[in-house]
This record gives sequence, C-alpha cells and structure tokens, in this order.
Amino acid sequence: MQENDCSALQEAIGAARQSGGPIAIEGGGTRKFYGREIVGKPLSLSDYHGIVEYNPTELVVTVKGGTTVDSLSQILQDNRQMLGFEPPNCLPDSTIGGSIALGLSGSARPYRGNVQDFVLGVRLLTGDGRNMRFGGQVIKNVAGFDISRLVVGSLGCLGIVLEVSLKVIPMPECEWTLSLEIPDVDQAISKFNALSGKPYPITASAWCDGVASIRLSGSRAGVKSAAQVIGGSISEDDPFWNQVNTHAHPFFEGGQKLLKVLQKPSAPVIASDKPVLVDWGGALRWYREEADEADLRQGLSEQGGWLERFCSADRSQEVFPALHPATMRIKQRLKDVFDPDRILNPGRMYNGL
Amino acid sequence: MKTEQMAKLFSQVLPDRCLVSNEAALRTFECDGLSAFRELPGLVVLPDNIDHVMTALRVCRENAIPVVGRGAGTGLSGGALPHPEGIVLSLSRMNRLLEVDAENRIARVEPGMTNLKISKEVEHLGLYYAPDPSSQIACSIGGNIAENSGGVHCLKYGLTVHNVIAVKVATIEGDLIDLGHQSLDSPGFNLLSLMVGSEGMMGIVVEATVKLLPTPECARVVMGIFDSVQNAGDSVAAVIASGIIPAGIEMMDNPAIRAAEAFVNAGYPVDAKAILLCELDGTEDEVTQQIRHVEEVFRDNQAKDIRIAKDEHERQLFWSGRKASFPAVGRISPDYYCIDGTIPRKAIGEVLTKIEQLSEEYGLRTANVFHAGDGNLHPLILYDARIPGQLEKTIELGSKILQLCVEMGGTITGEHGVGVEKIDDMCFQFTDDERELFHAVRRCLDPDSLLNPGKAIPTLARCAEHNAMHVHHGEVPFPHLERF
Repeated sequence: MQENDCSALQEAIGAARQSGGPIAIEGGGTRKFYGREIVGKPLSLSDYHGIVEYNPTELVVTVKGGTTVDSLSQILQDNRQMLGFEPPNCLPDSTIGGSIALGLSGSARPYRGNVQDFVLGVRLLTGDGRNMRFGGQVIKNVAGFDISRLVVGSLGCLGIVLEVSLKVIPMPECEWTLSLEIPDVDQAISKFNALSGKPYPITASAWCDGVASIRLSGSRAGVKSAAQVIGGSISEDDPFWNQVNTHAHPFFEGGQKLLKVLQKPSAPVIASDKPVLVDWGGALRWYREEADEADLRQGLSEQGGWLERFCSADRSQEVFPALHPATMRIKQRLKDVFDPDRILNPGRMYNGL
Repeated sequence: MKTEQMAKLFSQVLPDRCLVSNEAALRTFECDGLSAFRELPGLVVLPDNIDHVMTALRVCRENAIPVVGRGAGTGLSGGALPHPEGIVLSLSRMNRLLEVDAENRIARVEPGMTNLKISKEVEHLGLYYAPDPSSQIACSIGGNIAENSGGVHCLKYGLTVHNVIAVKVATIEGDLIDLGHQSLDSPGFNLLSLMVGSEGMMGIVVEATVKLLPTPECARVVMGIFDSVQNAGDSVAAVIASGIIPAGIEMMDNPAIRAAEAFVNAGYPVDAKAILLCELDGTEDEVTQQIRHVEEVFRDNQAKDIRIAKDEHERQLFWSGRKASFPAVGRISPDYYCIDGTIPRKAIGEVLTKIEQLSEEYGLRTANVFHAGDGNLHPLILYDARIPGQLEKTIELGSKILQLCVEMGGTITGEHGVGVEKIDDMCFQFTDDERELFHAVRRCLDPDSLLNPGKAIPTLARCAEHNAMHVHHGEVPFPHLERF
C-alpha cells in the first residue's frame, strides 16, 4: 500500500462490499484481545501513517490513523507536549487510530478528560467507501453534528479513522507522585474524592495493595505547595503510572481474565476481599479472575455502574454491558448509516453492531 | 395546523397553565437572541415535568407537528426560531436543582436551570460549573447543551461537551433514555457527545448531570497593551507555546477598546491598537510564577505597556470593559451583527487585517472582541437596520468573514451554533456527502424530522441553490427561508 494514499483502503472496502465478506480493521494489531471475537479479512492501517500537520503553538496535531502512538508521543515530547488522555495498553506497534477506536483513557481520565475530550476532528472512511471530514483543527467548533466524538470508542464499527486532529497539552514543568499507606480501599477512595474537591493540581489517583498513589502535575510552585498539604512520601518519575497504563504492573500479571468495573467515584468497593486495583480517583476498579462476576453484577445492580470483560478467554459472548433497547435501536440505525452492508468489524462491540 | 386546532389538541392532554395560544403572548417567543429573524409559533407548550414533555412529544409525533425546543431564548443563531406550524417547547419552568453530590463533584439539574444559578447553588462547597457563556445569568443549561456553549474560560476548562457527564433525553419516538453516566464513561457508541450541540434536532434534554470543579484559590489578570494587532495576536500564540494555559485570554481591537472605555471607564488605553486580557488561576504561588512569565512573553512581543490588576476590585474593573463590550458597541451604532468564526491562533493577525479590508470594501465598520486563546473571533459589524439594504449587506459581509475563517482552516461557528443564521454557510464548510450523513444521523433519533426542522444542516437542494445564487450578490430575498 502506498503511504499517503487511502485508495487501497477504499478498494478493500469496495471488494468487501461486493463479496459481502466482513473486514477486521487493524492498526498495529496489538489490541485484538479487546472486544468480541470476530471473523473478517484483516485490513491493516499500519502503512497509512505520518503527521499531517503539527504546529505546537496551536496545541493541535493532525495525524494519520496508522501512526504509532510511540512515534507521535516522541514528536510531541520533542516540543514538550503530550497526549492528555495517556492512551493505555499500548505496545510499540499500537496506533493512534486504534487508540481512538478503542476509546480507552489512562489514569488522568477524571482530571484531564477522556479520549473524546481531546478529539477535535476526524477523517473517516465509512463502510460504503465515503471519505469524509468532521469537526476540524480548532478547539471551538460547533458546526455540524459531533461525528468525531461519536466515533471515539466505536471499535471500528462506524468507519476507519484515516486521520484524527487532537488537542494536545503542554508537558507539566514538574510531576510528583505522593505515596500514602492506606490499608482500607474505601478510606483511600474517600481521601481521593475529598482531595479532588480542592484546587490542587492532581492528575491521577490510584490504590493498590494498601498504598494510595496521588500524582501532582503542573508548575513547580503549585505542585510543591499541594504536596505539603497532602503529605506522604514524594517520588519524581514514579514508574507506577506507566506500569498501570501498560498493564505491566504486577497486579495484571498471570490471569486470563480481567474485569473492568466503572462506578460513581465514591461508591464502596464491591468484593473488597478480592484483589482490586482502583484507578481514576475511585471510578475505575480492576478485578482479576479471583472475583466472582455474579457477585460484582449483584453489587452493581444495587449501586449502579458497569462491568466489562476487558480480557477473557471466551469472547464469543457479549463482553460489554447490555444496552437499553431504545439506545440499542438508535445505535443499530447509526450502524446502518455508516456501514450499510455491515462489513466493518461487525460484532466487535456488540452482536448486531 | 392552525393555533386554535393545536390548542384544542393539547388542552385535552395538558393543563391550561402549560399552554400559550393568544397572539400577544405568542409574540414573546417569536425570536431568540438573534432578533433579526422572527416567526410566530403555532402554540407554546410550557411543561412542568418530564411527563408533560413526553405527552407533548407524543401528540406532536401522532399529528406530525414540528417541535422547536427552547431554553431561555438567549441563543445567537436563531436555533429557537419558531416554526409557524409547530409548537415551541419551552423548558423554562423545569428549572430545579435536583441533587448536589459534593463528594463526586456533580450536580443533577433540570434543563431550564440557568447556567450561573448552578455555580451559585454550589458556591458554599468551594465548587462551580466551569462553562461561562456571556449570557450565563440568563441562559439555561438545556440551551447550553443544545448549542455546546463555550465562554471566556473554555480554553482551560472546556466547552459544555467537556462538562456534562450525563443527560436524560425524551425522544420523539416516546422513549426516555439516559446517555452518559456518573461513572465517567459508558458503553456503546458515544451518543452523549452526539446529543451535545445537536441544536434540539435529536431529542429534548429533560435532565442533565454536570461536572463541578473546585474553585481556584486565586485568579489574577494581566493586561497587555499593544501598538499592533499582529503583535497582540503573536503574543497569544507565544503564551500558549510557552506551556501556560491561561484560564482565559481575550483580545479587543481599537474600536472595541474605545467603545468599552466610553461606556464603563475600565481604564483601557484608548490609543492602543489592541489589548489582551490574560487571566491566570491556581494556587497563589503558581499564579505569581505564571504572571511573571506572561509579562516576559508580552514584552518579547513588543507590548507597549503591561498592567497587572493589583487587587480583586481592579481585576473586576479590567473585565468590566470586556464584558460590557457588546452593549458598549450598541451605544455607538444603532445595530450590530455578531460573527462567531474560529481560526487557528497563528492566523489571528492575518485574519484581522483582512477583516479590516473587507470592512472598508463594504463600507461597514467593525469592532473586534474575542476569545483569542481559542482563536474564536467575534467581529461585530456595525450597521443601521433602518437604512434599506444594510442588513442584507451586513449578512453578506458576515458570510465573507466566515468563508475567510474556513479558508484559514477554521470553522463558521465556534460557540453560537448554526441555527438559521449560518445554515447557508454550512454549504462551504461541508461536502454534499458530509451534509447528507448529518441528515441521516439525525433521522436515527428523529425519523420524521419533526425536531427543530430546517435548522443547522442545509438540504442538498438548498446548498445547490445557494451556491448558484451566490453569483448575484445581495439579491437573495428572505435568505432564512427553506428553499427546496
């Protein structure tokens, strides 16, 4: 495939429409574990890469979908800028298009925002081969419906992300992690929420194995004064955050099964006798195979929240939470609009999408 | 359907206090903040609760009656312009605060609650709701969601879409659906973002859960005074490039400075070509450090003078001129027309120079007041509606400015929405395929196109005709009417 040319992708879509055979879209092919298992002819975007436009003073970068997250991060870092959503679960081959399609956000989620908060525009190749641009390269833009944010997290079911324009953020002058011994997870979560209500430059807070980690990022003066109030032991460049981001932390080792539970940040931890890693200031709780899924579901039905099978051996069933019938109907209609022949990653997210 | 028929139909299912049908009262609803466009609605429905909304939507669905949702009616693009054969569904009575959850820093509110009231209600908790459109004292959160409203502080704190975490929506098909969730993210396609900014064309928001932020410990403002618009524009880009995200960074050009100064005596230098107001917030130490930094950047970009508000009183004084700039311009011209294009920051100087040229070409004065940090321009075109043809000329100049914004890589609307006002300008920002897709997406939630029909997205036929008509400058009668 020619670099800078999406005609090969368009041809592949044309061929799939003719044959009726589905396509399995791949960025770097590193995160196939996510979502449901699908059958489809692989279509790789890894040759469709490169920076389209980057002007650091605009805090905006436009990049092709097949660009690796690593190479993009390096270019941003050279200009002391970064991706605010800290794309998680990346290996060296993981692409930015894949990160947009997955819609996963790193530990800064509650403080800096999620993936769609940083998306300003996309160029999309839909299932009927149309190449269209939505949103733009400016921070404020309300012309037309917000298709670019709709596409975030759609797992390729609405189109191939050819290009994306992202808002980037300046790298903080200073970043410290405070570690506090808090044996009880619910107490740690209360602490996170209390601190999040104060004007401190917190950009992450997580708990694992009796230790609460709170990350402060910003001007040296601001970080220092907040650290004095919060207390705990201080470290610069704590590897903990990167380990959580890439799931290289010992908590994620071994097991075949990983459950992701999303709740209101202050909700008490369900099955707290089982191993759990809490991130996002309390809103995200990771469980391994020791936790009983039925127990978690029972707890969630009382407290509210979601459970998804982030990694599991059996991916033929639904892995994401069931949707309300009315919203499912709307989503099916959207699928028909973007991918009328249902050839793009059909079933990767839900059976029927 | 005529008003009497509609009134009869609705009075069978809704209490009389919820219906407005006499002509004098209907007049109140004939326009929103864009008063150049007016239309008398068939009927106004003022629901007290979600059941009323659902009932009204059911009657509309069964009788194919168009529905125009309305918040406080402060919108600037005619998004709430009534449909002559439809109802206006005014959510102003549903204005209660339903829940404040201080621990999770969220508030659940009804759509008619005003933007500023949310912040007032949670002030004692050291929290506030960040988006602050200039109409925040009057505009409603439901309207903010429909338009994805911005404000002075969105450079640092985001637009409405970044600050609303969930909405409850009544659909025209009779469902009540929850989009988004208090747990931050939710499964499936991201319908919440699609709903925000959809200009009332996908559903009626009957409840919203918004994010509350901790009030910054301190906020201070620096005024940079410049001899050239270009230097002021360059300073904005330089501040951002240096790694600081100010809470807000606003720019005014000389005509705007003079108008504001004459109106409120904010202490602005009337001979300056441009001023920048840069607000920094955070902890005391942080702000002190950043102010020094901004001062340096301004000096490096040839600022003639720099003033730092010495106390809260002076900070408010500095802002008073900026905040009063629209009414101030209203004093020097019988009418003005506000444009809302957005451009990349690096193009500010160039675009302002071109606006000046266009302004001379059309013989209409302009004053520029805008959110420089976001590249969101608000050129005000000064005109006199009593002079025949001047409004049409003004609209044409506005459209030229918007085309310029798109050419520079920007957009026709940064925060005011498309509504009826910029519907023809959508023709040059999007292709036929893209506009067709917008229509198709809208039909996923509103199959019969009953919600706010004729707004925001032009039909293919309209664009074809518009592009053809564009040859004959200024000869288009009633440019706001739908042309099939």
